[in-house]
Amino acid sequence: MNTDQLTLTFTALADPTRRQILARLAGGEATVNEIAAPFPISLQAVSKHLKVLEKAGLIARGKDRQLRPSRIQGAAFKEAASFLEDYRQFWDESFDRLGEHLHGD
Amino acid sequence: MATEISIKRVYTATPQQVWAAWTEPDQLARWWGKRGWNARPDSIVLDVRPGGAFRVTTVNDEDGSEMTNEGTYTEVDEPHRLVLGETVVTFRDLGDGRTEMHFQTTTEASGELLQRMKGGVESAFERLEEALR
Repeated sequence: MNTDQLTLTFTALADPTRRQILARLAGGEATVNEIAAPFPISLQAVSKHLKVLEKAGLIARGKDRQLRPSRIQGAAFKEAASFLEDYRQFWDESFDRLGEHLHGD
Repeated sequence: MATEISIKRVYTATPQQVWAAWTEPDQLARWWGKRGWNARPDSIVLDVRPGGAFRVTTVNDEDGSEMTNEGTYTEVDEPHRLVLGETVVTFRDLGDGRTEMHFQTTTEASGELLQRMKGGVESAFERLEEALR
């Protein structure tokens, strides 16, 4: 995944409603109506959120024109998580090495 | 909505020594980067003054791929506090020959995801991760 795709992923994850939608979908696929039920927002607004999530690669949607059930896509999560892990690891390992340097190991 | 990533380490060294490890190129070259990556000495620019440039390129030992970190010093208070854009490093003298280094940084990306992890949906993502194994 390239940086632009990662940006899309993180931007998609930045919104609390979209995170709640993802949490819902982690329990299994659902239609727009099912997803929208617990939210005090319109179907159109939910559809917009789903579009953002789909573009970010976080969900996939079925071909059925009426229902288009959404489900979680794992790869984008893995990429996002490994990006963060890399970032954290960079500093952790650098600071281990700094300790070795300072302590004369 | 950037969130902080915070790492604290205690070193058996004076604040001045830890400061030097951050600000002298030949010292920085010895520790900067993940294991398996090494700073290219000729790439290091540490113009340690407000507005001065910071740049380090690390090279992967195995495949020669390169990664550059760069920024601008915004605050320089030797040997207490170093600020590089979104990154703040402080050095606190513990008075017993040791120094506590506190490293804080924010990025939009990592910050947002960390916030997500602290929110209530963590378990859902854990289940997701398990499902992907």
